[in-house]
Amino acid sequence: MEESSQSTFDRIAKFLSRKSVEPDIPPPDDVPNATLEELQQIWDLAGKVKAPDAPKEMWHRLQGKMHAAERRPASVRALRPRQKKRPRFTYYALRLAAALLIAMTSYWIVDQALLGRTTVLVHNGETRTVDLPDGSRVEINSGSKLVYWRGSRKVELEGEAFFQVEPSREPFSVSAGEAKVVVLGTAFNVRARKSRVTVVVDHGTVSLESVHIGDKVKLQAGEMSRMEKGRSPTPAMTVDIGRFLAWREGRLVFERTPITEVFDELRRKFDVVFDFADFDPGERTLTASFAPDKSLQEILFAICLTAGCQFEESDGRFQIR
Amino acid sequence: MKASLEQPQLIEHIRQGDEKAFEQLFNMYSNQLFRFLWHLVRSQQAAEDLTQDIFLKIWKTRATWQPTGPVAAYLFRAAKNTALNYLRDNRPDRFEEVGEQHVGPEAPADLVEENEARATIQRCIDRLPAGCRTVFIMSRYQNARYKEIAATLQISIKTVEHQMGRALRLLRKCLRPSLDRTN
Repeated sequence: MEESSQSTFDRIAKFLSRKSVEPDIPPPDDVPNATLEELQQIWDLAGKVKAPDAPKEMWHRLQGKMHAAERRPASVRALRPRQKKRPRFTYYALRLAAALLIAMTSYWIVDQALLGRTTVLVHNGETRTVDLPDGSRVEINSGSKLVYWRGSRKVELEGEAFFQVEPSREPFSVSAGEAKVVVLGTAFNVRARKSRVTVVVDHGTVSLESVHIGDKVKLQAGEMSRMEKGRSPTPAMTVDIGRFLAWREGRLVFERTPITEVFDELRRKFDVVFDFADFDPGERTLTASFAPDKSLQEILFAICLTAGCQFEESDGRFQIR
Repeated sequence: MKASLEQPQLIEHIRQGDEKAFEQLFNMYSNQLFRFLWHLVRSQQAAEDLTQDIFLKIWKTRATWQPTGPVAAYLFRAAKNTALNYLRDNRPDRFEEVGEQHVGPEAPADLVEENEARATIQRCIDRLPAGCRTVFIMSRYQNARYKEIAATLQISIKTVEHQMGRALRLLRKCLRPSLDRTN
């Protein structure tokens, strides 16, 4: 085949892309049909390469980065330099689930603010990791609040967080309403939502006590205890801690979880609002687990299949009936 | 919720730090940008990272953000620059991903052929020189007019025409062996 001149190709290209340029461009008349057909074929073939759509979570992930860029200055105070250490510390993961009275307690506002007090607010739709003055690290789940003080190993929690506590002679304690979790050096999960505190331990030992009643429960690795408001903590139970820590990977795990609680979790994780038109979940529970990449719509679809509801979205709010 | 904002107000709101306005901008352009970037870098992960980089940079410098001309042109120009920088720093074995494939244990012969054809054209497009490829992608996949391409990339329309012709010529050369086979 003879080599067409460059300008011929330019004109053919213009013709082939005419849809966007000038729809009425006629094909160049000095070009043999065979050539034109061949190039049309190439043009069409190129169209078969289809780009995928962006993942739906891209906005959320971007939001995380946007906030991370801003949080850092606020949440990392200039703290005392780390104490001269004994040999390298090891983190033990403990999962403590503590059920706590949610939202009602505002006693730390009543307390006079001490110098060097930091309040970390994690909104719905976010999670945040904070390094404490003593070197401990806390991962905080959506819709939670953590308060800590400089020079102290006492923190207060509303919501849910996973603690990796640096071992030290001074005990580290987490107060969640009536519940107090005391540890020496471990990593554990405290879930303080509504009127129940759940504590799960992965490594090490933790003690969970009711400050009002004074009862204490010691928890070892793989154990869990629950505490309802006004009650003593339950005796240690061995559990599969995986599902209590699923939130750290962005997974949602429900096991005989009341539907209302399921919707609370979704509300916090995705930062949406649910309107329950005439849907009464009653005593129904859900047992299911959802991978981190599942969209809210996919999850609602699955839930409504089981719970017998329908959902409709409008403007960021979901109607459930 | 707030009604959608027009472009100049949108920009102004973003400068003031209005996250909802920023989200609106994101919703308007992120998918297009992602797909454009994918054509350039052929990796979903990279396309996502680069898309986020572009928006993150706007957010970080939002107080002084003042794009000259339409926002779309600004974004695609930023995307092109980001992509070319990325490609420069990441060597050829970057083109791992092939577009949508039909797969299956017993893919019928013509589907297999189609998959191969798609992979072949994709490789040929990937081999186009950077500037030429950018112009081609904008025209073929974003359906951009020559005038828009010229404005976005800040080149002349004549250059756009020339790059398109070049793309066609190079693609034909690259595909020649395959096309001959099927004739």
